[in-house]
Amino acid sequence: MSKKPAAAPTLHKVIMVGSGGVGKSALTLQFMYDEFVEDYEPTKADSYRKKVVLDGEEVQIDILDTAGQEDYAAIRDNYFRSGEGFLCVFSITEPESFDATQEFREQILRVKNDDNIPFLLVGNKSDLADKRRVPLDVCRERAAAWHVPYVETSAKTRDNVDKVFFDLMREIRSRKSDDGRATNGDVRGKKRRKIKCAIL
Amino acid sequence: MADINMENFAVPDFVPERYVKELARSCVGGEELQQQKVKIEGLAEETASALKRNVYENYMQFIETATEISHLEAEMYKLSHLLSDQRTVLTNLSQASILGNDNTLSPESIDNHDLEAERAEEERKNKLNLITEKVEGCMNLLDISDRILLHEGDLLEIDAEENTALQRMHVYLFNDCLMLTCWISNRRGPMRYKFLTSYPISTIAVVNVRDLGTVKQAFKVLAFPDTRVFQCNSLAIKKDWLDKFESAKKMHIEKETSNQKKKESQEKVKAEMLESPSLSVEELPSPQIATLPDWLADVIEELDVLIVERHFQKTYDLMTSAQKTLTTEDFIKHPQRTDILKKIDQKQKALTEILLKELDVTQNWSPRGGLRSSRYPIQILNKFNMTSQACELFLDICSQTVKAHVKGVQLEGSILSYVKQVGDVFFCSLSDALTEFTMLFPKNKISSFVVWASLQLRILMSQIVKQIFTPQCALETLLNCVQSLRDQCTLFCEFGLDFRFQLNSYLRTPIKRALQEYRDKIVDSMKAKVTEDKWTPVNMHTKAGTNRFLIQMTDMGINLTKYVINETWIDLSSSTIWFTQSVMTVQNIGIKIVTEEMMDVVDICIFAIFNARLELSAGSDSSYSQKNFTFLLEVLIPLMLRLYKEEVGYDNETLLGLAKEYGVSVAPPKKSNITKYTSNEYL
Repeated sequence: MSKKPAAAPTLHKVIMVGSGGVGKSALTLQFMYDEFVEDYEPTKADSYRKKVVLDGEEVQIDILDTAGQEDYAAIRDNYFRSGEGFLCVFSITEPESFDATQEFREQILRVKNDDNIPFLLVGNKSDLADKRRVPLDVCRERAAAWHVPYVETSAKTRDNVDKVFFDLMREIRSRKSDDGRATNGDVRGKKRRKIKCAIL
Repeated sequence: MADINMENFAVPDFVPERYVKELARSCVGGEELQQQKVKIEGLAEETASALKRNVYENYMQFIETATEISHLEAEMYKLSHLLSDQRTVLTNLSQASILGNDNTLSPESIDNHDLEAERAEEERKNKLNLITEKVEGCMNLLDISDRILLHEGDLLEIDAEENTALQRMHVYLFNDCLMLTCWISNRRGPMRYKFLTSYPISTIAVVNVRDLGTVKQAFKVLAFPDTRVFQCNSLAIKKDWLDKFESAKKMHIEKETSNQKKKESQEKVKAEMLESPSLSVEELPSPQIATLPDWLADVIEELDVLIVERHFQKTYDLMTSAQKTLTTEDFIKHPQRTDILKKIDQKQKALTEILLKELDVTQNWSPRGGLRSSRYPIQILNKFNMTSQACELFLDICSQTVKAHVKGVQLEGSILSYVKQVGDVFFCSLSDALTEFTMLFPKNKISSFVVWASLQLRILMSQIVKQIFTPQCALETLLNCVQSLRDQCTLFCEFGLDFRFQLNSYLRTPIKRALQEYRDKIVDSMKAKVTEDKWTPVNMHTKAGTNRFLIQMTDMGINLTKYVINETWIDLSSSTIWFTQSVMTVQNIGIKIVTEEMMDVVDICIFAIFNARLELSAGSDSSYSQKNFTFLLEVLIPLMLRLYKEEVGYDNETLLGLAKEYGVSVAPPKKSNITKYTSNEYL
């Protein structure tokens, strides 16, 4: 019944993680609908899908916006399993949320059992520079330690919003093509390393 | 002539036409036929009334049966409560005995000791069974003891990648798993759905789909590696599902944490057990000391069983014999002796607690058991030197019984019959309680019974006084009620308890009030009656009426035969007759209703009524009114004084004083006085 010749474009599954109130939903909604939602309402688990053009190729992005308040780790595991790439968000005005990223990172690595899973560390609320409490170099340090890119965004001003999603999709795409090739040869680790370096 | 009786009509092949024909043929003349007709009519009436009576009786029986059934129902309920209590005890026991084993009963099933939970459990099983019947290839839903259905419904599954409809599904959400089934297209029999798969709740994550292109009202279930997207028919349904998933998740988390806690505590217990090895029977016996006989070694367990089986008497016997045996020479130095004695003491405490609870009226006690049902617990408690508590509880039970019995008397018909019945029931209950009490308790406890009984009397009297001393109640009815109570109280004296003084003291104030109210009523209406009087003789219209009036007055103690003129007229004015009746009633009833020391109340009433009347003097200038006034002074007062003295044995000083004031010369009662009012001197 769904045997259309132009089958659905490639789907990239992105998961937003991070403490409550750091702006995961705000980023998602800004990316999806170009709008900024001021009022805060805790998310349970919402998913969105959008067709975008990534480097001239039409793809679909599936965003799973998770609950920052989810305090039961076992449930979080179930969400993380379905993700192909992660945007780990914290608020630069809130050191606690930055601290929490460590835990999220560890959990993701454990669940996906993959040290090179597409992953971006995202410092949100860059528009509130005067209230900044997490120094930029500390953020960069952590990203470097993890071998992941660090980007600062503002869901309010739309600064870097597209960038984080597109960067992550690119990583996911290259991972997928890597995996495709990996079945043929044993070039996996080297290749991936190379890409990482390029982004850094 | 055919004899007319029921049998003629009762034959099965009775044909009215033929019967009438035969009747007509056999009767001679119209008159006889008329007679037959009357007879038949009488028969019909009789039958109708019999039928009515039957219906009424049936009705009453039906009501009685219904109340009996409702009582029975209550009893059954209590019984089932008791049984479920016992069940808990047994499960606890069995648990305790298989210590260490992971018990087969889940913690929930032990908690479910009350009926409610049991019913819920039954319902739960039924529900799950129903689902099993509907779903082909269904997994065993009953294998988890606390599985419950949280939600179910039809959903459309959507392809997660391509957003196209896949299939119609019926989805069940249990507290521990999610079961997916699809519709059977050509179904036969009760199976409607086919089992597809199920996911444990701990492995799934639910995602609210906010935006999926054209697909609306959808949600996702992530169950690695599957991702399933479901579309609902409406937003409300979707919200419902999401809420139910949320609650399932919460339940799961709660259970998980509680399990964890339990595990921790169990480990702790185990660790403690390892630290302090148990002192079991096998380890200890030293060779030189005689081993305990089997029954003594197991005495504690045996006591437990007996208590649970409610053989209280046997429990007591075993306890005492065990204690006795342990104090004999053979065991005086046995190492386990003190231990067992201590445990027996504990059991004794438990037993007394149960017995006390048994006797506690506030805890599911039923009046239908009667007093005898409490006999055994009380006897055992007495043996444990707990006579005081037992006595208290027993009297509480008696109170409840009395209360229930008195409550059982219906306020039907006249107040008098009600009071009679209540009195009967009350004093019978008292005597029952007394006999039971004297049998159960030693003599020195009887004082508490007396105190209790007088308290009961006070409660009863406070009720009855409220019911009978009402303004609507005639003085005569009051007298009858009071007298019936006094009679019953006197009868009860045979049991050795005289409550007459108390009874009278409770009646004193209301009687006084009733008399005063009566007096006030008469004094209030006195003036109107006198001024409105037409001052003519009263016409009784018929001879029979006159006779009735005369008899009525003679019953009161005054003979007015001489005042009859022209057969139907009474030669006294209406107000005079009214006054005579009123004041005589007060005297007649007052004397009987009060006790000796209260006579002054009656005296004052009589005096006040008379005084009020005499102050109005003749009431009118007419000579007839004068004549009536003279009747009051010279006939009524002497008569009443005489009757008073006859009744109580001394003079009514107050009335006597009043008479003197109005110049009535009251000679000491002589025979001649009687003739005075019967003479026609005033005519």
